[in-house]
Amino acid sequence: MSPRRPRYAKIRREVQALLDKANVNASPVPVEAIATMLGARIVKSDFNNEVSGILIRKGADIVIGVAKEQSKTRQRFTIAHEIGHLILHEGEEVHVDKDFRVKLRSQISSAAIDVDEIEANAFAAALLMPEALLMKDIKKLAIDFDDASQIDNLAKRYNVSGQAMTFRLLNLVGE
Amino acid sequence: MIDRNQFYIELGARLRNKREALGLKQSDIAEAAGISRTSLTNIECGRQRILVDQLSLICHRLGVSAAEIMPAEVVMPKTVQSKLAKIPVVASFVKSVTGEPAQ
Repeated sequence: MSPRRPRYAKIRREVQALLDKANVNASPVPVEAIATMLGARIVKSDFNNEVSGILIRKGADIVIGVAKEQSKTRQRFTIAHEIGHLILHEGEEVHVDKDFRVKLRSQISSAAIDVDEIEANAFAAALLMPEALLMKDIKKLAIDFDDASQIDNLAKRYNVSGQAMTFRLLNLVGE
Repeated sequence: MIDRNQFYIELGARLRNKREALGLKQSDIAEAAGISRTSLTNIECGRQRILVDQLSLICHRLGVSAAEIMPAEVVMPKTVQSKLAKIPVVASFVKSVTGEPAQ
């Protein structure tokens, strides 16, 4: 059985609704305030680099655990990723995320891909780097993709890692 | 960090799989991207690093988004969740937040 496909259109809709609700019209996106707006409590804790984030849903109580030993940009990505799970995926009372950004998917295991993780990553990227804001910045700056310093500047502006910005730009340009 | 060589090997394999699934020849794709067939062979083997504009053109020809073809998204089988919940830092965090042990 092949896994279901990531719901990119739904993700785009949900992210836009959230950005509208939070009245976000400038970078960097206030991801902690958005989590709070959704009723989630952010708890930063030292996870010894063993996991990046934990989403706990217990009745009305929502907690996003964030690995505080990881970089600030990574923490923001973690929070956005958990918000993605919160909005897109019902079910699990405790969801643990480990190294979700940089693991390569091998061809052999691709049938076992967890689509939920792909969706949460896509959600996080879209939330932290809103398409409308980013496209405006790209037009203004006339981005040269060979120029790493420009991508770094954009990454700083959105308070994300250079890697996250690179992937986001690739995705938007490729669409 | 991403192993860069592995990344390009993986990306190349994904491009080749997609091309073959569509029944397209290397020359079809190379032409669309404005590169030589030899370059495409090297890209598909992960020996050559593809440029962003070339990737964009190839993805367009293959009818996929660059997002779908990139190997960097992640991936954890669901079954691992139950194991993760047992990691001591996770278990103690869940307990401290909810007052109950994780399932």
